[in-house]
Amino acid sequence: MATLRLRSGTPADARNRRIIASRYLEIADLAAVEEGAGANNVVVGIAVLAGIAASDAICISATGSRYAGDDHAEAARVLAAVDSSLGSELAKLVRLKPGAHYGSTFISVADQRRALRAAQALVEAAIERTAGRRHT
Amino acid sequence: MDLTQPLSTLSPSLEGDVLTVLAHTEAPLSGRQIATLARRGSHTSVTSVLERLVDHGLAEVQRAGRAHLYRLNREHLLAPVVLQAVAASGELRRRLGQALRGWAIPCLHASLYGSVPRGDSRADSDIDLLLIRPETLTESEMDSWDDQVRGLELDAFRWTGNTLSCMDLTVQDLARGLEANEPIFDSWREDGVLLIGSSLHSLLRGLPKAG
Repeated sequence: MATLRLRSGTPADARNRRIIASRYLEIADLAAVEEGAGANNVVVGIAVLAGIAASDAICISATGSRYAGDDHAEAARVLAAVDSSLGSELAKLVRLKPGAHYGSTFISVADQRRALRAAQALVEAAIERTAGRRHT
Repeated sequence: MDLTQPLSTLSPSLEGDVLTVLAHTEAPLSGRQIATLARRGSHTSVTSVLERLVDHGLAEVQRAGRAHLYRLNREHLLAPVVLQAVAASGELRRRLGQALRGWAIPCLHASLYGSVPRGDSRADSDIDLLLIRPETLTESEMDSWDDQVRGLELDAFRWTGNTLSCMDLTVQDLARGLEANEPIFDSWREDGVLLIGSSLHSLLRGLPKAG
């Protein structure tokens, strides 16, 4: 259990991370029509980035800080401390990473759809918590 | 925690390494043998640690010619603590197996692979777990499956401080990987430690033949 690395953020940072999350999700949706070896891995990879950015926005908005390390499982635990259900969504997304990391054939179309659904839920939560809020 | 050397969590100094060596055998060992088996420490520093442990009664020494031979005093009040700490990796496997056997959506196969069963994990290593789930789950069953896996991830983190990194596949996912000769199969075959369910070989043999 490494020392928790958190970085403080402003409402403007939360908004920026939410915008980035939405863009990643758009690209993941576009990539989802691609076929061939590794195509599903690419979608999962981008969906994870969308989920992490959305998680940052949610955490900053709720606590004024976000996880600053590169351990995505830790990021899911930090998000779970803010909202356990959203933490589970991010954990679901992060769980697809080993399949994408260790080969080009393990991730199925069904997994790809699960990744997109989880990323969508996180981006919607980030929008809900940051859009329309005053930022400096 | 370091699941390869769990005692280092309680005793990060050379004492932890020396006690780990002593706990792994009932046979008496020379200081030089202990220094070779410990992950670190010179013969001199290991001997100094052994003398301290003898002073505290936790190690026993006997003479064999010119050599001193040491072993853990298993009747010492603290010996059970040392032995339990050294066996933490086995306790983790027991707890994981027990939790997996209680799942409402049954797991077809669960095995540890990677650095933990290979014996070269460090304090910050993930615990790699391969899970094979039933092929056709409804959306609500899939939600229940995800909840089960999430529960186990959180339990394992509380038990160890390490991330349980689950590779969550179906038998069909596995079959595609095998056909593509994905290199991770070597790690599963060589280092995999089955926790519950059928072996990967049995699962793949049970697949209907294509065509």
